[in-house]
Amino acid sequence: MPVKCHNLQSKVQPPIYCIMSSNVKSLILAVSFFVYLQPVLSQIVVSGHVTDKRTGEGLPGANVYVKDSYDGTITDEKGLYKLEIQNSGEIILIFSFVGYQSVEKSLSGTDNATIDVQLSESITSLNAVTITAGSFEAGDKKRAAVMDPMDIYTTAGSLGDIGTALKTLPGTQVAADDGRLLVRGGDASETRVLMDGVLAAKPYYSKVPDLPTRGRFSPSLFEGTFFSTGGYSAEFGQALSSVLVLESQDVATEELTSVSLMSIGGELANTWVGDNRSFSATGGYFNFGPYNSLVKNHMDWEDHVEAVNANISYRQQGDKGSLFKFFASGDYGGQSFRVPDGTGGDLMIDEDGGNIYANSTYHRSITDKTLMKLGASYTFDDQDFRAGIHNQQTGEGVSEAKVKLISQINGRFKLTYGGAWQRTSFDETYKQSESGFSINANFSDNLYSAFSEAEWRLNSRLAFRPGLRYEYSTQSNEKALSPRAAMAFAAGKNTTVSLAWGHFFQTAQSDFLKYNRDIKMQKSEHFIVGLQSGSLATRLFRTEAYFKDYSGLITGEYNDFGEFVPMANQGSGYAKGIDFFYRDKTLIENLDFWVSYSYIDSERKFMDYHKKVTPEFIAPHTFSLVAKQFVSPIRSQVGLTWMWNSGRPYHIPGDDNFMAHTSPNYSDVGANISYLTSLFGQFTIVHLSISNVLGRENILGYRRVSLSGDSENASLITIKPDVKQFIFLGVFISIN
Amino acid sequence: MKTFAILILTLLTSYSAMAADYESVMKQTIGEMYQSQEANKLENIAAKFFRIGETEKNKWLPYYYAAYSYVSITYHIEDGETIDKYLDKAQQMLEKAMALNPNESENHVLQGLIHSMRITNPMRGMKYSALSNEALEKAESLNPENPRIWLCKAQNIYYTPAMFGGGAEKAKPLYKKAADLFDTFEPQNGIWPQWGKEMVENQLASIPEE
Repeated sequence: MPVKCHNLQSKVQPPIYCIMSSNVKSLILAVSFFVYLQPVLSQIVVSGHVTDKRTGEGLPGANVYVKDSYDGTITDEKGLYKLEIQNSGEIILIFSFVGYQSVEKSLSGTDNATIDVQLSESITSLNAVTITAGSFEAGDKKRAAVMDPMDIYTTAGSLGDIGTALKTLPGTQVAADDGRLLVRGGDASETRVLMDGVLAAKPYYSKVPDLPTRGRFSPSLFEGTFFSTGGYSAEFGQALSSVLVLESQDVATEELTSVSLMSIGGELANTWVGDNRSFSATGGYFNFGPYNSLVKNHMDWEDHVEAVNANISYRQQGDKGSLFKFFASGDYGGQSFRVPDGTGGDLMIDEDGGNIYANSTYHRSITDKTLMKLGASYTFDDQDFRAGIHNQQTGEGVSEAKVKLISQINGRFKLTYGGAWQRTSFDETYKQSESGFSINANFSDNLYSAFSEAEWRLNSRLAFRPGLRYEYSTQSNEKALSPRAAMAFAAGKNTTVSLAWGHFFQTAQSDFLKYNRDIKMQKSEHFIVGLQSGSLATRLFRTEAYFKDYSGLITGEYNDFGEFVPMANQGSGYAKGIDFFYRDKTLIENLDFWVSYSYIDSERKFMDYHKKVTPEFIAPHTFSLVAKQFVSPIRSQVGLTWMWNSGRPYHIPGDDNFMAHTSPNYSDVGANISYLTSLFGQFTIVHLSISNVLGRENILGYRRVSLSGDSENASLITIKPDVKQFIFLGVFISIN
Repeated sequence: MKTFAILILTLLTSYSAMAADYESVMKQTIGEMYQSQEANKLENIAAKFFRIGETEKNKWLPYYYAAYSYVSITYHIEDGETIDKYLDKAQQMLEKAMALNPNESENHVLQGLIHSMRITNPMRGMKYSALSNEALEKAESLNPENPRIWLCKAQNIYYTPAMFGGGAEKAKPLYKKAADLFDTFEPQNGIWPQWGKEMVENQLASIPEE
């Protein structure tokens, strides 16, 4: 009889009670019946301890129950349980906990029993060890994440620029005169930026000397970022130092119109939502003129920065989780200003240009276990640059097509493989306005790559990631094979030790190749060891030590037009250092802060350096502090960012010792306040941001003037921030 | 002896009948759930609903109630992180219920409720109120007569600051609509979700007449 006898204990009592009260005879019989059956239907107590196999700690709230019955209990805060059951032969106990693999234990006999159980985390759950070496993620759920997507907007001093916000993370250089990401001894060209895994070839607005540039993409386009400071996956190549992967928003679910009014311009955006699809369009106009005329500034402007931009994006979700994304953006702008030419006179710099970028990706699963990701991007950049008599017109097109397959062989083993084709075509015409001298340079390069990488989780404590990347460039007719490897080990419940190593190659940038097509790829090798402990939700600490070896760096000299002409790959260098990061959200209520410190020791012989020295863009000590507090009574978030770095080396022409001098320390305190309110009944954020609150006169460094072409008599130009203090006021209105 | 045999049979039959009585166990546990306020007790109740779900295998209501029990815990706690922890559990249970009955209006209402309970700080408001409203729209498209949809919609507006188009006055008509629907709502069976009626009455009583 398939009676669920073990259920008797909880459900039998009411009926017996009824019978007893209604019939005295039955009462006696019932009692004797129970006495008689006692040896068979005995009540036993099962107790024990349920623990996490990895950490050995008790699991509170785990469900312990008898299979195919409603009977069971949950463990207490120490992971202990006690379950009374009516035993009648063999039963099966199930131990289950969210995110862990359930365990079944069979039980027979009539004696009380102690059953201790260790549960293992499901390998697929978020708690499995993640390789964190070298990477910083800004995401909602990922375990390696150190930032929320919102952090990029709300970091004081970032002015909504992704790169500037990332500079508050360790391993980066502050470099207020650049604006691009300089990572662990690498220069700005050594970071590769991707959107949804596909190349974004010109992620920054064009850079003019001494002025910081900004990222082209607004943070609101993205729901996550992955920023690696070294040792990254074999999927990524053509970067000696760093990759930044921006993950764009999925299908929007809400129709929204937003209006942004800023002290430097305005932007209008609208999102339309359909069935499983969405379309958005944004247009903006920026003009720094009115602002610059109000605020004292170091630059001698002729025409203030003025730009228009627009972007559209379309997303569609299909069957079985397939997702199609298309994004396109375009901008056009220009500026002109005078800089000292090093001989006492002025030099007019005049720059204008346009850029278009398109990116499309399609993801779908092709079998139960394999996901296919296709992507393509196209960038066209057109720049017209005039400095005095020099006039340069550059057009560069870069396209990439990529396929990536992810096969989850089983819970422990994942294989990622794929390939890409990148094509670069470059065309530049140089003209001298007085002599009429003109020269044209053009070339194209095809770069083919293939990669394969395995991610093998031995158990929830230990993971390996070996990978191999192959690259072939038609321009330099070079093949490069880069082995990579990473591993992570869980040292405690929330503590991970990671190791990463790899070879990284990068072809010379187009600006160099136009002068010399025989230049080969440059190479770096990374060694990283890191420790991460805690969680983004409460407090998180991480530290990483690294060593980086550069070889085949490009060497050459500056020509009469102040442009660098590469001659050979005879340079080399190294960078070694240690980074610390601490973030705490729990110390003081409503206060969230993080602290970063980086120490770096780096020397290299490259460009026109005739010996190995610390390059101009390296500050040995970098410190930053970011704090944010939500002040409920005034519905505002208040933020403060302090960035400090020790001086950078510079060279005084004519000195016997190369790069013998050090510039003063740099310090900047930025503050911002975001006030949540409503205008015309619509959700509105008023944002005010001020850089250099203390009004400090910072000297960023000194630049040797090579524009005059006469290196013997060249002099130094002091580089100061373009504006001593930047005040940004914006009103952002969301209309539902 | 004959009597004894009959008695054994009667007893065994009633054991078996009771053990298999899914509805009565559900009814009893649901009753306990509505009366409990302590986290520990509600967690035990949620675990019991989960066990019922695992045993019955194809019924969505046990998982639905497991999810709702976890949500109920969050009514009585303040700490954002702990709230998230219980809502994560609720979400997992709801996904099991959803998988068994994806077109049930009640499941989508509960999804909407879970999303709005996530708003533990103002910075989350934008994201989760949009998600909540989306789930409630879905619930409405499946059964506009479900009073809990209008209760959740009303709550979302009630707790939105007046300056963002929320507030008690704007929520009131929705509470009224919920109250009317609660009067006519016919549960499909004896263990159908019942929650919300009292909440609507309390809210209506607390909003002053103009």
